[in-house]
Amino acid sequence: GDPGGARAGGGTACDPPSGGSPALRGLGAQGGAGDREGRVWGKTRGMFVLGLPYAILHGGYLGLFLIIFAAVVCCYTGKILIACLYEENEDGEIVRVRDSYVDIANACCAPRFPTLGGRIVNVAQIIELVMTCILYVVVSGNLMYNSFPNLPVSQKSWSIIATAVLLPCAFLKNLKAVSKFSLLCTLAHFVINILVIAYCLSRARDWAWDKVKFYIDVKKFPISIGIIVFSYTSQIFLPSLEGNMQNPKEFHCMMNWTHIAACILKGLFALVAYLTWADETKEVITDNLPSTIRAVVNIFLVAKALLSYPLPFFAAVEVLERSLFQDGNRAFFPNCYGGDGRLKSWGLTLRCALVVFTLLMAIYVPHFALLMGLTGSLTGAGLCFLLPSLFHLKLLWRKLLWHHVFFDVAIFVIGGICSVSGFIHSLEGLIEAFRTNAED
Amino acid sequence: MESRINAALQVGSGDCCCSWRLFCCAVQLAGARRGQLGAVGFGGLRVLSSCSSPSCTLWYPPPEAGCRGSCSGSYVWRLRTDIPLSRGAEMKGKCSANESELEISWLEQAYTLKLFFLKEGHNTSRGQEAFWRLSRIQFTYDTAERTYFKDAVNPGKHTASSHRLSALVTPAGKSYECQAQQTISLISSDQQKPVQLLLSEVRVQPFDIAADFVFSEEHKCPVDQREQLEETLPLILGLILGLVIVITLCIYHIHHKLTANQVQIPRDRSQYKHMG
Repeated sequence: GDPGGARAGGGTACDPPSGGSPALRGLGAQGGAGDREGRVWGKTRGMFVLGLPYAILHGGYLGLFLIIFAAVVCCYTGKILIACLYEENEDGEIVRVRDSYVDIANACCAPRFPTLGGRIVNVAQIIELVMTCILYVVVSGNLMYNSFPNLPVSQKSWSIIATAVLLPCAFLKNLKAVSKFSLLCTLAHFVINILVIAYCLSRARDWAWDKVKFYIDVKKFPISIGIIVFSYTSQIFLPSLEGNMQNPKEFHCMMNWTHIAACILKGLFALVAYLTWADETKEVITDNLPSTIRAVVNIFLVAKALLSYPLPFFAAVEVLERSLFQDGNRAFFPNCYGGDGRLKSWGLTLRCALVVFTLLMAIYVPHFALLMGLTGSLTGAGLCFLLPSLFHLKLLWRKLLWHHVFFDVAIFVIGGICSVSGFIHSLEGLIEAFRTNAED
Repeated sequence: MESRINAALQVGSGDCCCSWRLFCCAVQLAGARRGQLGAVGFGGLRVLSSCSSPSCTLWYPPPEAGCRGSCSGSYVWRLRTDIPLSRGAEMKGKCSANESELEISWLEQAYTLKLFFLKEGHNTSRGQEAFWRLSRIQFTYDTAERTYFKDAVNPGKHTASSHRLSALVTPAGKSYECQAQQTISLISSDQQKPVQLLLSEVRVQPFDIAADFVFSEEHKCPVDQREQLEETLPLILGLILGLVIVITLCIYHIHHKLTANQVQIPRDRSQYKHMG
């Protein structure tokens, strides 16, 4: 062909779209599967909070509003879940009759299917917790691999090394040790946040206040919804948390304050980070940082991923032991613990097997981030929005005021929409990712 | 390869930095699906920032460099063609003790690839060692040939040669093997245009051949060696991890059995509140 400079074309399907306003940026080119997977990767790699500025990039003020709204909704569903644990007895007092999420589910399906509800909730919990564990192994492997690209160590090798470090989790016996790890994890998270915010504040003169948009990016915003909504989910742990409180009456107060604090911190973090980089904001905000700070932040991110593993692992172990390994005629296997309360050897073997299982899934399952989006939109949305409102309506129907009923139904519907759209979106992503792999 | 391109250029000055958008269709954008195109701007080649068919966008200067005044733009298409080495190629060559030459030609001498090998001795820390290497490449192509070139500007034979080349370095007495792709750059006699030679799945031995069609022991290229290491490392680590788990379980089991006879305060777990 003869190269030449010209203004050519016209009248064909290749005419450029007219107008260059930012509102139309959403139309036009959309990335292929690699981009989409990259976006979902960003979501999981940053472990939710670090992806919030990206959500603001595509959502503008609506994203900020959604952060606040999601906090309110999750606080409300947490409270109604705990309200399901209590019933009014003959004396008119409110007494705690149920102990766990499984008990609530069983009570709902009580007359005809006494154990069906519990089994569904068990399965959902186990899936959610095990997927979270696998995610942390994948994330730490990926972070280490990206931090040291020149070493001949592949991501698989880093995942194996991470699992070797996490092997002592098999010895966890009670919540105290786990809570120490969670505390360290929170500290690591604070350090990351402080580093990012300090850097952003140092560039406060360049903040682009006029860049926060009112209109949303229709094609890219649904992912942001997922990032925002699922950063508040904690309903799996609430029943036992409330049961372990010394003063359960303070539960409502605790929920309110923790959600307000989380909401304010996340909103400020997302806003400040977005204002610093505006259009350049990447899916994981640490990618925007200069390389020295990014290296330090990466180390803390790896530490955070490893320290976050014990909590879902321990919860999964507890759920499994409770449902499959109790004495009595309901369970399939004998107890994991001996008469003196110590863990039996084969109980330890099963825990190690679970750790190895998370490693194998982390290594051999392709496109794990998309798969997690798929299961998360079912189990996560179910356990956080659909089931609490359903159980609340079913168990306390007679005592609910009209606005409670309205809220519950609204949350159920909105949760259902989020769940279905997330499921379809992830399924599309998975299919396209497999098709791209097959073509390559 | 399409010889006609339907393209339009839109120059915008959004938010203080200039952006060009090129809209094109029916052309395989160079490279992979999300290709790389270079655009020349203000002296130098800039790689396009984002390219997802059918349009490619370039911001110049890049936003962090600060804002400039007015914008103007034009584009030049540089087409690239891929010429594969066909299976029915003819081969000729010369082998001697220190110099070898391999000549491969296909499509009735329209394309000819000449590889020159050289064997030398070096003084290394371990004494006198001999190595052989690829010292020169000469690629002759005919742009009047219809299969890979359409409507060429300068139809005729041109030669692309290498410039100070030292590749495929191998110890003497061994053959060179490389499964990974290697790129060697050549400069053409036709207006200094760049030509790239892509080699993959190579096994070659120009000196010290023991018998006909018998390769000596292979020497792998560094990329292959690294990949081999990368692939064996997970297995080794996995075995070590498995061993550690088994040893830990055995120690725990033995410890459990030994201390079971000691008097233990029975710690009943019935009061323990489960999670979940």
